[in-house]
Amino acid sequence: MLHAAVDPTCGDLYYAYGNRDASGNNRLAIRRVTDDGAGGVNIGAEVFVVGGTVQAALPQVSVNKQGIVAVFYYTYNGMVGGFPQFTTWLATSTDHGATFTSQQLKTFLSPASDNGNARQRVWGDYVQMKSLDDCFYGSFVANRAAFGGPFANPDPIFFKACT
Amino acid sequence: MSTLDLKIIVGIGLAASVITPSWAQSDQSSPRDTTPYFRPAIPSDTAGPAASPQFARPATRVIRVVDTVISNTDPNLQNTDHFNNGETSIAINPINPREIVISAFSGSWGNPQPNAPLWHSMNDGQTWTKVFVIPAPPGAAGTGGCPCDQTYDYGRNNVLFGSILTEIPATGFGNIYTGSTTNPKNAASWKWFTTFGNAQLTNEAADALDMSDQPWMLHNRRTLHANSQNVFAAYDDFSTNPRGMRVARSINNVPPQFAVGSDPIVGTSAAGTNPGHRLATDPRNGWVYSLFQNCTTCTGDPKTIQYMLNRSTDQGSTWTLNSSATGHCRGDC
Repeated sequence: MLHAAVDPTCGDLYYAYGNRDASGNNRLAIRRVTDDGAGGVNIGAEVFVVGGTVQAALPQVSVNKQGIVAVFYYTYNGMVGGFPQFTTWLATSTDHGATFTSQQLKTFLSPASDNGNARQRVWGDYVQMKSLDDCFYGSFVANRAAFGGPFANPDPIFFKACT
Repeated sequence: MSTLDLKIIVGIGLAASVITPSWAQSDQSSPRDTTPYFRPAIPSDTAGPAASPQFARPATRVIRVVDTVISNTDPNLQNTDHFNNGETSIAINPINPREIVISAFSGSWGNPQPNAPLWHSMNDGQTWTKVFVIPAPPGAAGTGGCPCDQTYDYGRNNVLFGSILTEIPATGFGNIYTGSTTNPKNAASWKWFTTFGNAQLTNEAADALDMSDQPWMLHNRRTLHANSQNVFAAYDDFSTNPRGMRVARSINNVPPQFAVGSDPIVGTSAAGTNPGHRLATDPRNGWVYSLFQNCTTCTGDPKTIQYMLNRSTDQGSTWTLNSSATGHCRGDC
């Protein structure tokens, strides 16, 4: 899936998307879209937010009032204890999306394994992150048990990160 | 060309309906997965993070990561809530950033209460309350099991907007309704714009009736001045092949009003992958961007995807980017 956001300081637009490589790694990339000075836009070169040996998905991009570009995403880590394990991340860029630094938000198991139904979507197919002033606010879905709850269940998770 | 593997675990799946057009069966988002996925906790659930690559110092400091069911004003909710809780949206009140709303598949109209729920915080997301405050849109069909896909955004003056998808079982798709409230703790405050007692559709295009999916709604300012309550709702029109990418607009109305003809086509997306239609707004000047996927080679695995971008500089009346009315992609897309 994909997502886009406008830099409130200058009007540049960033869009993040999935890009699978020849080895089957589901990487996430981003492009910066800038004014071409003639009423149109230039779409910049592809930059990988997360590359290498990774299975990443569901990117959300936002830009705060300092021009910091943030990308939220999930990674699939492999099977742990019989269930798929995921980590959510927040990657940030201070150079207009040229380079990114990622930090973990939460690691958790899926409350379910593959049930054979092609429509199974334990986490769903969209989440959301926005910015206000210097902060990024996001919601995603993760396992209640990873937060100390008595059951494994998909729950709405809130996060806030500020510059 | 960029490629995308849609088989990743958190991805989208398949659907079929007896009268759903064949081109629409492989890539729609609806109906939602309402399966309860709870199970007993196991030690690995709290075993800690996986090994991760080394990263430099990040530009942001994480203030909090909170489970809204556990960090809740109802301390027993974590023992009783087994809803799917998937597909979240978030809205932050710009007048009071400590007031935050999250939506998810955390209940539906009639289950467990007549009104549908939101997650609401008044203390910067530290604790949450599950509030049942969204009444079903009057006269709407397909409200059973919904709200389905839904997105929320704050406008000016404490106004919270929400766009909600219903589901028509015969098509597997639905209709979109957009309402607003100035008090997300109070169901009586939620307002739908009605005509003859029925809530007005957001997907006004005749072709899109009962055939719409995945609303993505954002508030924005007016192009000429900031004092406006413009609302834009992007959605997928699955009535045609290729699918129509539409953006509905409500110009300075609370609750939002979508006139006939207010949801023009801003591009098309060939069958084979979910369009993933999204919006971005420019808060400096009121411009709106539409972004969606267009599958160009859909028979292989992975599929080949174009990422299409379009723009409106006149509050959603017309759309064009780099001389194309249906979206632009980079030379190599």
